[in-house]
Amino acid sequence: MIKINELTKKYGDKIIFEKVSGLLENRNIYALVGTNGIGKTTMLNAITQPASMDEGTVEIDGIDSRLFQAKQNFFYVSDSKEMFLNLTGYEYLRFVTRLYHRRIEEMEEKLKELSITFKLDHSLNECIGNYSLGMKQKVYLIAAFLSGTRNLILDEPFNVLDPESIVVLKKLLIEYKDKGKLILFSSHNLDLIANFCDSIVFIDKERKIYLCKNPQDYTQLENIFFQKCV
Amino acid sequence: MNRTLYKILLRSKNSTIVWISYVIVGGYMGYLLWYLWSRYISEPVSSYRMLVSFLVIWLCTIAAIYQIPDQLCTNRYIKNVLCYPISHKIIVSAILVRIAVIQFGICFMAFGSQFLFSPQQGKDALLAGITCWLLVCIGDMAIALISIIISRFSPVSFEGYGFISFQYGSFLAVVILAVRAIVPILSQTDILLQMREIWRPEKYLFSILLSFFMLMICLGIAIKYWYIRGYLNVQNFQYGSVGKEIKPTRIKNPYWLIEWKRVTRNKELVFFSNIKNLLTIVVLSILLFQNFGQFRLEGVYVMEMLPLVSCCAVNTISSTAYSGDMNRFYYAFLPISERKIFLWKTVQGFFFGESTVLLFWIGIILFRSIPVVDACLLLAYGSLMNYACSWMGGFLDYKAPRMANSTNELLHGNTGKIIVLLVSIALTVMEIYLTDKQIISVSLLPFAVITSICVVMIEVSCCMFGKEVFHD
Repeated sequence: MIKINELTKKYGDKIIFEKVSGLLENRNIYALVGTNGIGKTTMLNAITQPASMDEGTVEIDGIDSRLFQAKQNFFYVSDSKEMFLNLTGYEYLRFVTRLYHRRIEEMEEKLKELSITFKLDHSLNECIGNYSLGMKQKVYLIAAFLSGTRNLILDEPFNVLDPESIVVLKKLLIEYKDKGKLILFSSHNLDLIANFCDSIVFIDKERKIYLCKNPQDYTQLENIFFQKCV
Repeated sequence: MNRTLYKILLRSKNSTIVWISYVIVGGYMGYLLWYLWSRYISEPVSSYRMLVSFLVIWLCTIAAIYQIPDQLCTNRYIKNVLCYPISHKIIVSAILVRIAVIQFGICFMAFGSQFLFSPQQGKDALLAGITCWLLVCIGDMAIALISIIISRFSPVSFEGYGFISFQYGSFLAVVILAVRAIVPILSQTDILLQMREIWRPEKYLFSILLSFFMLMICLGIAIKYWYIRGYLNVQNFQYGSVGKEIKPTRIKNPYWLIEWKRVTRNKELVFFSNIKNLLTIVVLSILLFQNFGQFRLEGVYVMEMLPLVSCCAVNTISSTAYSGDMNRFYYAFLPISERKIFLWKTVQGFFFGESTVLLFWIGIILFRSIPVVDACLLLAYGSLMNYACSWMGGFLDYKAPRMANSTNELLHGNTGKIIVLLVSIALTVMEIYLTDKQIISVSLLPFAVITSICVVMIEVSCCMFGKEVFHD
């Protein structure tokens, strides 16, 4: 569960968000939608890195995000694909497992399963810096699933994946949700969103949050988008 | 996990072989130090301990001044781990402990060799080594604390200048202090005996330990309340403020434009860094000439020419012309001529280096009365050598670009700078030698100008006619 209370973020004089609030509940997949440059990544950064907020609070599973314990309750896959380039895929995944206090034996089994699912099992001993863009994204996503946290926050996770991996990721996310967890991801692909998520978080042209249930219909969703965001 | 964290935060790749090599080299240096003292200073071995302590503290402080603010506050890799459950204390301690371990190694190497020269004073050497390391750690913590305070409390638009001023100011202070202290010690060895009486580690150990723990507590508080916000402030400074309007450029030449945009990402900082280089060279040259007269580089304008050519050589723009250009990967599939881009890169380097040359030249005119003709020749020499050095720096970086693996993107290209500095100093020394020994019957300044014209002409011809140089 993620609760945003009167979040404000400014860059100098430019106001990105002012007193934005919202509640995202467990057992749901939320898509974060907005036009380019409206502040989707800034919003995700504000949720995951409270020091970057100017005002307001964020609660993650009831814990103030400024407290260290809150970090154990979410995993964030950022839009940057330039992280941990000097580690091998395996080193990075082991590192994440330890950070989130997962059992190594359990992790090994799950890691094997996930790496085969994402077809990354033969590349785990190579440096992440040598991976293609899609492979980097896959390794960060595997880390997200390995962390086992109750909230997954993903910045444009489908962007660089091949069609097969998109299907795999959708399946894994639905399984994750069915375990009672929350997934929040940003995307521009309304077609994918219409057929996949439970709810949609729009950042409208006023830079406010507009939360609605997924109409499960592309045309209807497109209309809402143009009405609210453009 | 700690090893992985080191790899992430510090890009540390050191293997066992590298560490063993460091230990061997360190051990040898330590031995050499004690050997030289015992051979050339006729005091008892125990007197050198003070001198060794002084040198070790000096060396470790210089390393800490450059490493700690960079790795703690401007290190862009910390951002990657901020959203993971890693406490700020672990991040900071990972960085500080690594530096402290290296410094411990330096202390151990410096004092360890004393056992070979006077084994009966082993206990004293051990105590001196530990005291020395504790003092160095106190210095590290103080530097970390000041860095956190600068990052947290100085305005975002001033952060970069704050750090450069702090690093540069403390570096200069430490160097001046060291030269001021070392010269009298080397010339009047009885000072060593007096200092040995004053400096008794066992007498000060309690106060040192007390300061150590006090600083540790202060640092703990600073990390808890200020560190992350300060770190994010520095990142905002480094990557420019979002929403800041940039005036449309009037530059039409695409080569000039692309290079101008690369350099002016942070033009104020570049200019500031140039002035910093200039001041360092002037101060160091004065200290060298004043304190080490045995260089025997005599002649009119030697005092002006050597610092001037050093100012030209340390050109950050040209020595990072390729390694600092993230766009260079796209040049391969764009109709961009390598020859032309190289030319514009050297011109750009020249343009920024010229500000330093002019500042230096104005300083000379104001503070030293020299004839107009000589002043003009000196400016011509400075400008020509500036282009020559800019070309050399750019060329080195083109043929062997050094990746920005440092934790601070602003501080790479130093290897290129050092090579250019050595080559240009060697050239100037040769000019001084030839005219001083009257092998050439022209006075120094006109000869230097003619030589630099020749160098520039060779470089330009190499660009224009060298078929193998560029892949156009």
